[in-house]
Amino acid sequence: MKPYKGLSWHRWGDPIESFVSEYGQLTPRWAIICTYECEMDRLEQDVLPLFTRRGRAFRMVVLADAGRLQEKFKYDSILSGRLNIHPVRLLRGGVFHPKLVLLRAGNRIRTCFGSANVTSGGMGGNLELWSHSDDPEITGAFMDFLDKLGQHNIALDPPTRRALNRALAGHYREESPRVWTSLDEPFISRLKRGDSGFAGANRVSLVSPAYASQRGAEAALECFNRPRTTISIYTDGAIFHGKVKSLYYNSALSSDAESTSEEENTNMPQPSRLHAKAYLFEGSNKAVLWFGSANLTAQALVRSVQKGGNVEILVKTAVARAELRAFKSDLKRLFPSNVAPDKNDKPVPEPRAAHRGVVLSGELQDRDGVLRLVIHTLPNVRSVKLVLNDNKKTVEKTIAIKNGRGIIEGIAYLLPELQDGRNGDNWTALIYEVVGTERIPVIVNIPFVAEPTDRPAAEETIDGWIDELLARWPPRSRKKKNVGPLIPDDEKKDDQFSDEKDQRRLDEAHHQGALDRLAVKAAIVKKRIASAPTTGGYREALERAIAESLLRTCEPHLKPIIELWFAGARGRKGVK
Amino acid sequence: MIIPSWVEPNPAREVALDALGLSWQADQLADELLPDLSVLTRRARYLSFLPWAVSKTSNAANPEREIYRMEAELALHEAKIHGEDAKQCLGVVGRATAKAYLDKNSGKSPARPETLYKNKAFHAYRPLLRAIRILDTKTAPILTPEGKKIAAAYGSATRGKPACLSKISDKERQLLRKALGLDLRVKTNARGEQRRATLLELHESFMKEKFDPARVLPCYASRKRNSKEVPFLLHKAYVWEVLSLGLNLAFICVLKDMKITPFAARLKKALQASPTLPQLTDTEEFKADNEDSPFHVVAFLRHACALRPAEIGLEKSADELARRLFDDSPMTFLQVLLSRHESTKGEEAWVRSGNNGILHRLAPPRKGLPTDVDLHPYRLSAFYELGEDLALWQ
Repeated sequence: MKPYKGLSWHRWGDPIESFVSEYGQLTPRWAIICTYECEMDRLEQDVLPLFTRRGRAFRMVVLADAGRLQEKFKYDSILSGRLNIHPVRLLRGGVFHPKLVLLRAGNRIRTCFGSANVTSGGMGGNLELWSHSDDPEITGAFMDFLDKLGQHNIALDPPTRRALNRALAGHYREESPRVWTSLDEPFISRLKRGDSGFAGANRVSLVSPAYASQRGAEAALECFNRPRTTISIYTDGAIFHGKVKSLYYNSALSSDAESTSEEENTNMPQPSRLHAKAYLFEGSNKAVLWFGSANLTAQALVRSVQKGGNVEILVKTAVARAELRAFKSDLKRLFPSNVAPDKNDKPVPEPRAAHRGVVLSGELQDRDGVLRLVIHTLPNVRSVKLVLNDNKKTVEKTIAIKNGRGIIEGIAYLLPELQDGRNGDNWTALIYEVVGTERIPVIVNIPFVAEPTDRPAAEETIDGWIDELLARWPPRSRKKKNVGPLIPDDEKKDDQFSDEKDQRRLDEAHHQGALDRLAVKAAIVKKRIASAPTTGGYREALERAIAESLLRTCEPHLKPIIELWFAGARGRKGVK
Repeated sequence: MIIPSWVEPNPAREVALDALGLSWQADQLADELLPDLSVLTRRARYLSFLPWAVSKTSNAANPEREIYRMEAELALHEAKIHGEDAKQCLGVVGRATAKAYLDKNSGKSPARPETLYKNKAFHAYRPLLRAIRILDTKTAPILTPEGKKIAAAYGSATRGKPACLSKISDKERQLLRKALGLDLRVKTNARGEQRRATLLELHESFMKEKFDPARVLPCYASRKRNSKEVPFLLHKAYVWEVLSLGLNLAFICVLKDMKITPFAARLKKALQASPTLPQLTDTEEFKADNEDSPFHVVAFLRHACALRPAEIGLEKSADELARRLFDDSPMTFLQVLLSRHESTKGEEAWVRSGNNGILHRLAPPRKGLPTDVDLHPYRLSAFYELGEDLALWQ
């Protein structure tokens, strides 16, 4: 008998660890994580440490489904770590369902994608498919996806938008036929195009948990029903029973499963439930695999976001013969065909938690040393009632809302966990929106990117960029002068002395006038960008993004000088 | 080309059997009572052996792999010297796997011991080693000056040969007590002070019980006036255990039937009686197939509600859930209980409520649906074992 050889098994965090190890010395550094649901203890214990190794802290932003987060925080009130968590709401039904990690360090981008949420199940408890790519076409497509979030009836709070814009600054983004997202069209439409791999397929293998309802299952299967095409389904429930000839169940994933073959690797991992989603199209001379977040349901595959579908992602890959054999070998082992479906297994609808209330999120702002809370809501809201807890008592406040925004001043005593602001260890807290008799959890973040104000804030803006380019963590507080490790605790690196030199210049400039300070900081920023490794206009794009953010926030009389400093970003005539 | 891979299960992150999301509160209390310890940090000599292993592997190309090799060699040594006696020298990571390997291979050690088992002791003890400043907080294993002293003490006591965890030297004990804040003569930091306060509270009264939570916690059933911090924490832990036992027992009883209605009827009967509160030590009673379970549920939750969990700072929604049994109906209580399970577990829920109170079975945890409930450990027993190694109980 030939030795078993399937697809390889890797830990969820392996591609992240290798990226941080290889490129983590470059700046700016961001990690954007998209997940349907998120376990806070997994985030704190397994994910956050990946991004803070060797002092190479990444600014970590987690986007998760709003309804799911509200359910989660009904019972779990612990949020810790220097990160931001943002709920994403789909306003026409559907859930935010992608599983994506986008890593940025300087000009380097890596995307990790597949079926795994940030949960114990996603990190090895379930059977999950996971992969990663540094290919600019793939990473560009994912950045395009993140850019488009906030359109298509998706409610994204302003701090998220600011963070995403900052995280992706300088990078190229464009759709790709190798990455499908439900933002543009449903998967059923994508399949109709010639390059989907479906057109020439005579055998189709579908891997998915059985989340669909009866009608949903039928509608999803219709995507693949075609004369002279054999469909096989690998699943964990009986909903597809009788609908296709070849149905395979994952009894091997149950607690009773025993390995029977001596040739099998006795250390073969045994996840406990199916969560992977894969769509394999085999033709006479090629095979194409789509895998990612979309289950075999109507909600995921048939409806676009505009029509109430989920936000989903699938990535296409051409499968070489060896990988095809490996994948099918795994399916055969994990889904033995001799197990009859349990006829009493009733269909179970896809788990969904509807979001409630009108408050999207809160952000903490520091205005001249006074903390205030800004609430972001859906449009057309006039007021909201909030509950805040200062450990001794519960305080209710009704806030007037204008243009989706309301403010509570002097908030420090009501959010004790955030009192230390950017110097604290926690950057998130929970408050509650009162809706009838219900209290709906609302996440408050200390945002990575400050909200632009009416007041001139060029220096604040450039300080934010310097924090990122010099890899300062925590970011420097304007309240206190000497706080935290302003130079990161990195292992020895080549430009260590350059960091110290830049810091000395900044310290010296501290005693100079505002314009001189700004000039020194602009020079440091430009120098940092000039020394960055460059690919395809990255330096120019980043410098342009920085210049534009400065011009948006500076005093009017500083605009000409800023344009002059950054003239190179857009050619001789300067930045416009 | 993009080649997908499967996500490798991490045995160190076994999915907890926490059906109702109640463990987080217990973990928080445990963290306040005994910061930085865990249920895995049971043997004090790992806190000197591992630094010694770090010192020996600092120049290796892959220091962590070498550390794993050394700890596996320790496990093999322990398996050899303790032989068939499973009760001797407990808490050695990988010892059972090492023994099984030796038995299968006629006593011959593996060529690559570091692959013997997956749950490494270094993973389990590293957070504590960092917290008590034996290891630096950087990712690469680096000893602090204190860590170097402790490593030297181990090296000196063992002369570089594998040595049983039970044969810890006096010098190692002295240094480790100081590092953990358990040397009363030496000033320590806030977290060390907390461990010390818990030690002093439990030391006299509970040594015989070996800090068994089932025996310790009932002594804190009533909240003393002006109680200092540790007694109040233990009182909170008691209340939380009673509440958790009631809720978890109700949940597993519903799982057994896979229907809400039968158990709701039994709860209704139990509500009309005045059931006696079971002892926390009667763990054999807390099973889904025990006919007295509905009475136990009513007794636990009635007692817990009387102690007002939310008022003493415990999770409000659990308190509200328990009160539903008495303020609403058993049916409503069980429905909300199941809803809590679905909310807690999300896509990983074990069951989902369907029509007519019937439950749909989803994928259960790897070890199957639970049929009994246990108390949360609060790290107390592990602390007792650690203290035995450090001769704290003499």
